[in-house]
Amino acid sequence: MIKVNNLSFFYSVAKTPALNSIDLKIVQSELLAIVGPNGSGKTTLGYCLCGIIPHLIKGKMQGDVAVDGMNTRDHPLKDIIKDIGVIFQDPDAQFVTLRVKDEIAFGLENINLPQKEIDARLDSVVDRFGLSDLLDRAPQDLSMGQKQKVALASVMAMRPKILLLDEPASTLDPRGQRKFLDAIREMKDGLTIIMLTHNFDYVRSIADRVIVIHDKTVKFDGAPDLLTRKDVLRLFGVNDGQRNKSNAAPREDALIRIEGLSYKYSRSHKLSLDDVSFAVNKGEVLGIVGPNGSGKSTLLFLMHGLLKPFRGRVLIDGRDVSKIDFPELAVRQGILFQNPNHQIFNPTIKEELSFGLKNLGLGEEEIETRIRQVSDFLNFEDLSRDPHSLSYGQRKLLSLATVLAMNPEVILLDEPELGMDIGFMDKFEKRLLELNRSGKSFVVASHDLDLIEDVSHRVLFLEDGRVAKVGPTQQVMGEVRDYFDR
Amino acid sequence: MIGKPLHDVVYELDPRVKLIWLISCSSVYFTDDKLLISVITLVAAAMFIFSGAHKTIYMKAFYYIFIFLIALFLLAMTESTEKMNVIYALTIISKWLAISISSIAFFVMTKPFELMTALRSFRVPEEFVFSLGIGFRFIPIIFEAADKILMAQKARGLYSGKGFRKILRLPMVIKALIIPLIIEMLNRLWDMWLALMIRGFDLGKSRKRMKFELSASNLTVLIYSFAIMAACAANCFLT
Repeated sequence: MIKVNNLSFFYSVAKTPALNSIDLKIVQSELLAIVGPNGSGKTTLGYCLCGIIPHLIKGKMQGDVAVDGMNTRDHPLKDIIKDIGVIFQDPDAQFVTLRVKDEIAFGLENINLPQKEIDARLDSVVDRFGLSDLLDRAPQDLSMGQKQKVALASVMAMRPKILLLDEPASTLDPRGQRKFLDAIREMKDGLTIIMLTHNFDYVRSIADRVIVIHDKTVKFDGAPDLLTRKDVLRLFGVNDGQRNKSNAAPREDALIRIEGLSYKYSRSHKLSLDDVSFAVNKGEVLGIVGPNGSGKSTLLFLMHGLLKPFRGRVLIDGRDVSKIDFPELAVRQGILFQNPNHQIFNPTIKEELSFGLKNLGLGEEEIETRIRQVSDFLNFEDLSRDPHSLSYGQRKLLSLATVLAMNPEVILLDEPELGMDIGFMDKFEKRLLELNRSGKSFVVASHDLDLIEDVSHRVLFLEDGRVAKVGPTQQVMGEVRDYFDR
Repeated sequence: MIGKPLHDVVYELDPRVKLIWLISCSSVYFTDDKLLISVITLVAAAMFIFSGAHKTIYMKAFYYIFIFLIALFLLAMTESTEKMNVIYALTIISKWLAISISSIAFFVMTKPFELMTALRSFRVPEEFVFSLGIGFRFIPIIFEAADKILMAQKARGLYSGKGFRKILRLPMVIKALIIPLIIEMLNRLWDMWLALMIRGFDLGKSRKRMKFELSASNLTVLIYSFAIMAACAANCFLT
């Protein structure tokens, strides 16, 4: 179905290749998973397989890619994409119309199908994915799971022979991920599926074959169980057996107290958080889990005083967070946002690290010392580098460094696993436990139940903006997993 | 039409009829007839009320309209040298009130995709219609990204400092907000462009046009719209 022959690719301004001598054959009806660390070249390979390279992204391409017998270099993009459907990581990024019905019909209109055929295909995918109630709604107003379904339906309406999925379910909660994988499993017959992913669990559950990309080339190719091999894990920087998984014993006294917290977004008719109360103890790691839209991120923003509660309050050592000024709050509490791009704006890593420290009013010498400490801790070598040129994983690490440099007592983490490879998460988990042993407290909101189970002393389960369950990890996680398995 | 709640009738109007109604309301600008202005304003207000706009939308909108109208009233008062300057000023602001209310009512009653299909059926060039759609699509994305960026920078002490020091930091504040926003927008635009291209998009290609249903409610609003357009035109040219 797809044949890749000695493929190398250089982006226009780059001196080193983004892909190097790749040979690959993908047969019909196969589900191939492509895995690799952040920045290994997975997405570039995906672009080559669907014709985005060389048609939309220019650069130096060597070797050939043939899709269903068509060399992507010799055929126009519109011929290649007739056979290929692509779904990106963030469904919001690919919606181009203002109504679900138009979104599904969009591709069909582009390939000049007669109106009757468009209507027939629309009806067929609407039935298949159960979208009849959503047809007149705006795609951006849907839930994460519904958005991913609409993205899948719009692509499947084109009846592609090949489906390329780039991290398709990473923004979904565990139940949404399972449902999405079930949908993929059902479509498998007769369809060739290529899935770019960081998630080894998906690969093991549905892939027929996996290739591991490292250093811009294919290092391993085989059955999904090869992902348990030590030499493969080592490519991701995972060194098993060396790890101290224990966290510190938390103290009994509360550091943060949340009392009857409620919040409502101005555009929404219902409360996003409704009467939430709990405490975070000194030295504790508190995990927050819950389905998409349950209010996890909102809760973290309220805890940090970034949103004003509708009702209730957040107390740090007995003082209302909304009444604490920045320099004092910053040494008490730091927050890591989901997307590192939302904070990076300085021309060098060093300036990015010093921005918050200068706002704290620290002297030059103290700033230098703190930058050195976090750079050593997180292995930053060249501090004069432009942070925008870093890989996504490195940028996330830099965001974490900017928080750590301020040396807060508590760190709030909003989905730290998003977009990160298994190696990063392994290191991240180790660092988090080390910091916790040195006395820091954490509040971690995440969809990664394994991460939560590994690091948390207690878990708080949010459902529809309310605390559905809170208690020691071992007691709560069983019920949480049952909830998501339902 | 009979027996249906007015809210539903207003929403079910054909978007092209709604667009013609909006244009007809704008023709109030060309008349000075007080009765005509009152009728147009009252009907626009009725449409607005039946549209059931959310409280937060109209409170915000009316706040700005109120400030605009006060400014306009004062301006009109100073402009007129006649004795009837208060009446002149009131006429000017009631015209703008009619236009403002009808515009808000139109955007509350009409979903962005309906507006696009209406424009398409009036044979507005596809390049313009599609760009408008992408614009509508981008507005919530920009707001969401701006909110997150603001929070991320606030958490790092962007607004720290007091008094004169705070003013001196203004260029830094702008830089800290604008650079991530531009980068986020460029990323989003790139993703959207890829999504368009990979689905065979061809700008300028004509798309589906909607059929026109001449229901009683559509016909009523259409007759009313043409009638007030004719009345405004007559008033403008004959007096």
